[in-house]
Amino acid sequence: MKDIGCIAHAYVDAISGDLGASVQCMFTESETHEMVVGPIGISSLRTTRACRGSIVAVRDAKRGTLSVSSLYNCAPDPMLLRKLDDALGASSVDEAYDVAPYQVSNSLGSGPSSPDMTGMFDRLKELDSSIRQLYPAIAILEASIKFVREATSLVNSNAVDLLSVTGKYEINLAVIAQCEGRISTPFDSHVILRDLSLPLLECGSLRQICERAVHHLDARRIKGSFTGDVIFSPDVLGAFMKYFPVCALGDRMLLAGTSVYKGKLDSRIAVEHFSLSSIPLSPSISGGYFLTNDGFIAENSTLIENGFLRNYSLSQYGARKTGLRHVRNNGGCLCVSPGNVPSSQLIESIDRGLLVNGFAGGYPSDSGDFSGTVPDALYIEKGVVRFPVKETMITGNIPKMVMAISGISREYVNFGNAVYPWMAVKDIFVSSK
Amino acid sequence: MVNGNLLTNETKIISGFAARVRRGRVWGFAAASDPTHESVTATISQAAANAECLGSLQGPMSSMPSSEVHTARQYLATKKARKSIKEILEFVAEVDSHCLRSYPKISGRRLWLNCFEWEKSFISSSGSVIDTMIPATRLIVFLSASNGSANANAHVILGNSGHFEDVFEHLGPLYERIDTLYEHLMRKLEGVVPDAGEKECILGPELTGLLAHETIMPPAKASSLLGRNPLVSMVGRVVGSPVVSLVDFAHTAFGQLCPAPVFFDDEGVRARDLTIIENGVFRGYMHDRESADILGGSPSGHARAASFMYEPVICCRNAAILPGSSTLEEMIASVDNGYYFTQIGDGYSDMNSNFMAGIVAGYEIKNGRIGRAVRHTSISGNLHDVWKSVTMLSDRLSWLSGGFCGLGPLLMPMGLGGPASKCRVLVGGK
Repeated sequence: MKDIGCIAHAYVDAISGDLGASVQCMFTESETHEMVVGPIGISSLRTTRACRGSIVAVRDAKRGTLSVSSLYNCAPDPMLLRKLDDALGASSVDEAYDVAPYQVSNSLGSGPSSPDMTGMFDRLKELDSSIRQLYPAIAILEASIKFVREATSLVNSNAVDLLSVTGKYEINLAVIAQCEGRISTPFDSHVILRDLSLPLLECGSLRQICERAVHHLDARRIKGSFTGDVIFSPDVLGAFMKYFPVCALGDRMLLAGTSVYKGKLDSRIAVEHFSLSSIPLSPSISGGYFLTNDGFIAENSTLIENGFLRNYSLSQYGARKTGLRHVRNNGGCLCVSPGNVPSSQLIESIDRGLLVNGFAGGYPSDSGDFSGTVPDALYIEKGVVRFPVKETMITGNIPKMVMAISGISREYVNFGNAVYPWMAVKDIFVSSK
Repeated sequence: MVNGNLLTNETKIISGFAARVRRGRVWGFAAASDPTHESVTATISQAAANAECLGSLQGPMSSMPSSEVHTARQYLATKKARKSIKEILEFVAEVDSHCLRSYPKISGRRLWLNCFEWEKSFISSSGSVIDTMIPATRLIVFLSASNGSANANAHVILGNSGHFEDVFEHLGPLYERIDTLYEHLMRKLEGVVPDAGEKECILGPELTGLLAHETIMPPAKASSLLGRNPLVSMVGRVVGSPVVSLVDFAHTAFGQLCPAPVFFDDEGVRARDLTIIENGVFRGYMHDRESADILGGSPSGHARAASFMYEPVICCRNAAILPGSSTLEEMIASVDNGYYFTQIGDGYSDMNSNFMAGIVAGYEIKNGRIGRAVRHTSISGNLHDVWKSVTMLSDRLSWLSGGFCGLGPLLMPMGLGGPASKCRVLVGGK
């Protein structure tokens, strides 16, 4: 791999010297090796090597950003410097623009430094043959294993000099079940691993999606509409939890003034037993990160603690604009703290409702309203799972949902970039034909 | 730009090189962002080594027929003088000022302008050399409002294929669209949650176009057949009412350039229009070279790579339902109790043609007249059932101002269009 630190330093020197600007360079070099099983067997072996870089410069309270993919020698490209100069000249003036202050130099790392190609091939082949053997009704649409190594150098004109090197395996599986002319909806899942010590079918929820795809062959319509309790499984919980750091607690909605949580810091916004954190540095997270996009060493961040809003997810710029606390965290790597009841008890507590494993509803509105179809869900009646459903929709509101949580399971699934338990919520509207 | 604050002022230059090498029925792929001679040579060698490695594991295989050979150059650059970044940012600031001046009741505004240029050079061992450059420009305007008891937000996507100088030549038509957005936002503030269940609806052109897109992604991808046993083709099956015809246009429709024009795909195949549904009957699958070879079709120019880092995958270009003969007014007047949904959020469909589409703007229809606005909702159902329920199509086709098809981590530029359609769909709500 290249010496990206050398390239980053060269750009910082050139931009601060020639353009007279404060500057942050965040350059990443990545190498990936990927094996893919398609519908007709192992069909592709891919290798990619890429550099990408983001240069943020601030001059006279004006800011310009340049993102590039071709960084291959230590002599800064004059064309890129000209484009950055143009961007700086074009920017509006905002005193909140800045780069990160000095931090002690550090080298951070996690995961393997090179791929175990034989292990990748063996585990992928094992996954393929295990699924064929255990689930004859399953057809693999795509199964892949990808080793990703990334080295990121973060250098700025305030003498920040940080290096992060990570290695991880990313596993993706997409399947359908088919039997006697019936075809299930597609099921997919992913997991990020530091090593290949376990059979892939035992990781994340890969086994569960195979089982659910087979069950889905018997999917039925439920009649009419009702308001009931819904259990959101680990596979689907992320679709709702991302609303917090990405939307309601982030720069965009707080600056636009549209967040429902504006002015709610340290207020109760969820039930007492609900806690949500972003934990990129946790040892349990294989796909974490060490550096933030705004130029800091990342920290874990508790967003909601026992129902109280403890932190927004604001960048340095967002914090300066709003006067609120800056959080050294990019969002992501979310963890809903597990509860103390088994998931079976959550099901037993439901008179009429759904166990939702998949949701297709697009982005929620700014106020958290969501509505969408549940292609992978099970109907629950009188505490018992009855059958998989089809052509069923759910409607709700995320801020109201976290105030109506009736239980959180003690079991959880670690996807490598998120940890979610099962979560039961009251009063979700369920509709069908 | 959020409430006048310039959050992002970014120039992004992503470039690189990819090589695919075929051995029998497997591909070796390699890509690198470093364009030096040494890197290109190493990348080709790596792709060949990958193909060799997989090929040796798979055993003897038949090879694929050779590809078409083309030499072409297709650059859609503006003929006008290019504007500087400063001038383009001044345009954004001017639109933002217009919103602030003209819409006193908004509580938040966000403008997101993207000026794209996709430039590709394709070279194959069979002799093709194809260079293309396709620009596109999009402005998304988000407005928010609050009346004390309710918050509402709405957005509009504006733009087309072409450089900024051609797409946003005049501000007048742009402001008319934003005026309409504001009027809708004010009505949405007083909006109601729709009644859930299957309803008679008029879907606006964008929504009809989205369902056209979802109809062929993924169910009409030939590769979707390959994992199935037995292989069940839809060709010849009735999947819609006789008024429904769906075409995936390559680059030009009705004499106009489409939002995401594709002249040659990323396997070097000349892109052609493909009729997917003709008068309600499913006619054909989208193919890449591999699926065409295995399933006995012909490549249609649908192999598209989202960037140099990824191999081509089968993906539509500009999917549209062809217009009918009714006016929108006639269609609305024909509905006693239903909805008119005008603007989409996003959409999803599966291999069984079950779909979901987010709705960000819509109205009740009561006794043939437009009623109250509805709040954020979604519609779902089975696409074939929806197309079979279509009884009227409006006489005008409109394109959504560009969009992206999400294929896992990839975002592929695509166009979607259609007339307004009258049909029955499952509406989310209460």
